[in-house]
Amino acid sequence: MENFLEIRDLVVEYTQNRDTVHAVNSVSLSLGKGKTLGLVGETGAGKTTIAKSIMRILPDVGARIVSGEIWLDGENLLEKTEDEMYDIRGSKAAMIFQDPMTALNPLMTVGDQISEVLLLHNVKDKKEAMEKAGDMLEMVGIPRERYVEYPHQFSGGMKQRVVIAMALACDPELLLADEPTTALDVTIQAQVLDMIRKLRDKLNTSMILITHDLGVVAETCDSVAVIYAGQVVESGTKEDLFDHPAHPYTKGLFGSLPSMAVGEKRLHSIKGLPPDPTNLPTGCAFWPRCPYATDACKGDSAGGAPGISGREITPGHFVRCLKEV
Amino acid sequence: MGRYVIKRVLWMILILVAAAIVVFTLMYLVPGDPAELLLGVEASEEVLAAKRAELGTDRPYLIQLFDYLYHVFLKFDFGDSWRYRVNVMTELGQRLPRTLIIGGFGMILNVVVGTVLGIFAATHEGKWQDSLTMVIAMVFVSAPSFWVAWMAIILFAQTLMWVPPSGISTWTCYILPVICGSLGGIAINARQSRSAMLEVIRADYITTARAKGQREKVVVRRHMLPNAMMPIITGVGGGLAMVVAGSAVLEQVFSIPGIGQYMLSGVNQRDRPVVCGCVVFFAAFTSIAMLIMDLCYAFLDPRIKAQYSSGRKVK
Ligand SMILES: Nc1ncnc2c1ncn2[C@@H]1O[C@H](COP(=O)(O)OP(=O)(O)O)[C@@H](O)[C@H]1O
Ligand SMILES: [Mg+2]
Repeated sequence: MENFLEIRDLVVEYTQNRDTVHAVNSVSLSLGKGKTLGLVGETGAGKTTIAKSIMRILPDVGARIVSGEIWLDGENLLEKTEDEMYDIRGSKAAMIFQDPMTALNPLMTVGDQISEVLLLHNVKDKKEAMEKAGDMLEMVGIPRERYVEYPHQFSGGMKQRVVIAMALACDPELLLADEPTTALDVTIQAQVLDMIRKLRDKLNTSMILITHDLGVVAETCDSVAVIYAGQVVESGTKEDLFDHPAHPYTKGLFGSLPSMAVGEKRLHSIKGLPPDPTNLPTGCAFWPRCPYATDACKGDSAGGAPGISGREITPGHFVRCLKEV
Repeated sequence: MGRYVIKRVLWMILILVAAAIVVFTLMYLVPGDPAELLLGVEASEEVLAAKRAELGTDRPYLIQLFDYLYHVFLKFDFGDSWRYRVNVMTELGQRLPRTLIIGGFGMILNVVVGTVLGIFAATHEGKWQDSLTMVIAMVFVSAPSFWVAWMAIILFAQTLMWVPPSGISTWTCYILPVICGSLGGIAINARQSRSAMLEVIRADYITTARAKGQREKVVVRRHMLPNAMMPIITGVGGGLAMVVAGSAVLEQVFSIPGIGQYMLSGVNQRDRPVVCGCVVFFAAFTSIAMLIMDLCYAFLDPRIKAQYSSGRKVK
């Protein structure tokens, strides 16, 4: 296993009111040690579900990892017992959540919430944990005196810093950052991202960064995967995707970007809506919105999609589309 | 915090005064002459007039009212029962332990069993354990307590003869009233704590706690339960109000000389000092319970505590 993280053919479903939500449909991704992979895609594409599957923290009721493999540092996480996962979560792999306003327990001091993860993995006695939690707070730019304060006494940006401090407390080798700045004010976004990048570089952490912000991808990531309706429609290095996008969806997203040198650009919007995940179109999931769609894209009557399984157009640059570039 | 408590206590006194005025006025408006009710229609006019003077009912309404309020709130004297000539405060003191046993143990059963059932149902969401618990809860929420009490007497006292059907001769007399009095509350509490737990189970901070590698048992104990406590405490508060309402019915059915029964007999005999005394007592009991409940909120939730201490948004 050469890659630090390798996801193969991951399929995840939710059950909701007797409907099956096809949230992740055969996703394969890989990430090298110390590298950063950007996951981009519209809301509901399945990005958070992929991250939670890696941590194995999908809800007990209504969520199911149907098939696939998730190899982290040579071990398949999907074959681990719950007890073995306890040691991996928070220590080897940690996650920063999308919404800092609800990610912290309102009844516990922020310091104790950081200590909790330290006591689970790194340190044995309470005093030392409090000391280290104070250090973590300072590292993310919060005075250590605020250890004893509660989440409601913090602003959104500071809460997200606490969440980041919590995620990084045990020096994780893999960090899953799920839209870490989406819920924050624009002025704070840059600060928080800067901090995540610095900490990542300092600890040589591998990272999956889920974001809507192409500027952030350009500044932070080594490679990018574009997710659409629970599938990777295109993946490759940052340069591949910014300079030679091949999938019509990627082109649509990156469409208005003349070059990646122009930063701070949000994803371009594309006409139409993403498909209903309980009832995905046959063939290529994107065809109803695709300007180049042909009959072949719609799949055959059996629902199969010959030839849409993805191809490598240049080494390391994959695209899931029939159209020749 | 201290200021908040003082403010609440002042409010409480105001509410008690209001309750006293309302119940006094209602009893005043009940048709019929109290003196005549006590002495019978054959009594001569002189005797009746003497009785009226003794009870003070010959004075105008406002004078009577202020006299009553003065005695209750400044001298802590509820007066004597018109019919039995016994001081209402003394009588309340004697009867209080019996009502407290039924109410207190009922409350404990209510909270413990109700909460445990609710958490049990929530953690088995959608499975048969959940459905069964909720169906049983539904039945007990809907069944009137006096009916449940009669059925229990017929089954456990008369047929099986495990416990006495009524009275207070031994401690076993209290078993049925306590259980019957708490069933409805248990059911309500189970439903309340189930939905509170379900909401908390889905909360983001629970996912955060799991993502730290925290053991599932600890996640439930440290993160879920305290957060689910808030709505559960609210349920307990509602249960307390039911203790008050329920004690009258239960004490009647099981012939327990408690405060609820005292109040009912007072109502039947138009015994104004008894009725007013019981109502004011129940109002005080409920207000104090509510205050304690609110203080529990503040103790558990730093957000509410912050609100109280800063003096803002005090209801
Ligand atoms: N707990 C859940 N129950 C049912 N459906 C869910 C649940 N969580 C997410 N989904 C559905 O799965 C799909 C993917 O969601 P998500 O992974 O959160 O997407 P993203 O993070 O890309 O916005 C969406 O259609 C969403 O509605
Ligand atoms: Mg998401």
